[in-house]
Amino acid sequence: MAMIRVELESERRRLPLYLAISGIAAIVVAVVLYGIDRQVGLLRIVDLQQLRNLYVQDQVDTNQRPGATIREEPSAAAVVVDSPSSVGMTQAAIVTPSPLPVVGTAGTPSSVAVPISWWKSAQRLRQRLSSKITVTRQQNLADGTFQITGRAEAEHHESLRQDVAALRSQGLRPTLTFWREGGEAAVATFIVSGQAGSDAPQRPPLRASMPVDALLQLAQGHARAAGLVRMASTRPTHEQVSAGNTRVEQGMSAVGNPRQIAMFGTALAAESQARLTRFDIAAVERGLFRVTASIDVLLGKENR
Amino acid sequence: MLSACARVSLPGSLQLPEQLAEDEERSTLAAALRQLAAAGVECQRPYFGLGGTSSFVKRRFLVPDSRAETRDQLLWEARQALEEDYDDFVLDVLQTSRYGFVVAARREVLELYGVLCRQAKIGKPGFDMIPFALVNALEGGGAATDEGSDLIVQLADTQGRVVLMRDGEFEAEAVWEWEDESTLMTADRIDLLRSYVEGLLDTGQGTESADRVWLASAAAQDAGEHLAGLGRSISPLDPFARMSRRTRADEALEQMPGGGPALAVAAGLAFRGLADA
Repeated sequence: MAMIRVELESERRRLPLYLAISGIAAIVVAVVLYGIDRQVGLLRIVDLQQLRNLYVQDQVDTNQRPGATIREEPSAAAVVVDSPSSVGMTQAAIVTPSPLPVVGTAGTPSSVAVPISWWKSAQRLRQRLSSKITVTRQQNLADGTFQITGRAEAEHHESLRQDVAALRSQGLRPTLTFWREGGEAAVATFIVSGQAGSDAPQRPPLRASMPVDALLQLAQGHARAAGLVRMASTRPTHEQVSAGNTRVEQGMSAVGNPRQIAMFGTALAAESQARLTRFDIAAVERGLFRVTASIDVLLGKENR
Repeated sequence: MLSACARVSLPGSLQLPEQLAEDEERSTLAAALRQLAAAGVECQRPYFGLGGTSSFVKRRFLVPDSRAETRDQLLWEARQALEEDYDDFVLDVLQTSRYGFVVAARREVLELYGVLCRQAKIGKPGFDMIPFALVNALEGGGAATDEGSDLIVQLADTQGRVVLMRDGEFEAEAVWEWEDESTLMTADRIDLLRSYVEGLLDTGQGTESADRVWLASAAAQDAGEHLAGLGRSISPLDPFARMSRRTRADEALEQMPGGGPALAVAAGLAFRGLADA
């Protein structure tokens, strides 16, 4: 008899091969869209005037640090997103998320829009890995750690190792792990994880009080605005970080296409009422992905 | 080698996984985990046993001669059964020579364990189902055989669990809550236990007895004498029976109420972790 080994971890959730292949294709498209978006603001192309403004902005280095003038806010005013009819989604009605009642001082001034990009690290780094591997999941944490999970045929293992070595030479400290699931799978699963650096705020925004579901409503509001569907939420977690100060974190997940997920991420990263702490993408169906994101705030009395 | 062994008593009983979402209770658990680490039980990856409302194991039939089709079929059935809750669960499949099992755990609960581990500043959690951990404890302890039937009995203050293995493979599990609040194995509890055991063993052709009954907790060992007739042999399940032990670990183990059998779930989780490493 052999030891029982079931896998009950979300990052090792196995997908049928055809889903994974279509998933990686969609991720590649998403990454390309991100790149284009960084250059010309694709997601904000809504009218000629805005396009003209964006064209001017294209001359500016989008990698500027906090304090720069580039704005990457989720432009919810007139963005129209078409959802695939094949999965029963309807055209998204854009709803501007209602703001949290401000009863304290936010950690990040809402008047300064800084292009935060840590949440795209895994997507960005995936482009530096071989196109012959299958990526099933990309995870990003606000501390800059990233994880790319997928499957690779044996003949592509060496090129994957070389790609990871190249990342290491750039100071990203990546690790590459292979394993075979169930002992019979012909294709090994791999994880590339590492530290890509982070431009996330050091602290979450501080609030003196907050309605119970405020964080969830905030996140869901952005999700709806982006056209995401099949939303699920986790219970908020509370962590006492110091006397009188509690960090509240709320997670949620939803399903959508790459463009909708990019909109969602951009909106959450630019959100001044909460801090984005996690952003994961996993392929779920043909052309669709489940995004899982978490945001947090600091509930307390002091703003130090 | 059993290199470290420790047990931390909590100030009160905790309802898991429900109370993982409670700030105070999770802090209590995190403190207990840190205490374990301070006592020398340190590892790269802690494993947690899942049971109760957070997870389930459903038994189904196999698609003949195709493990891949069986897997697809089981996951398809799970999708139909869970409907819109499907995305809230992490799923996997266990296949034996007789049955296929869908194993599901609530994603939210797994994430709460992640929060607990971060709070305790220990490694990222791994998971297994408690009945599988018990089976792995039997396997790791060297007591498993590929022939006949084994019954693992694990009793606790608030609930009981019986796992049936046939020819070395997991076959079924029964879990129940005690109907009284006693801390002793009362006659009513023994009756309830016997009814569940008989229910598991009943193959439809008359009640049979198991070839071996294994007692996997201190309370189960106390109840062992009342289980006569349910198995041809009744023995404590000592997962560390064939394992060399460091002196400190051996001393700690001997001082624990119930000894090795009381740690059967923990040992099964650890064996699984070693197999994964």
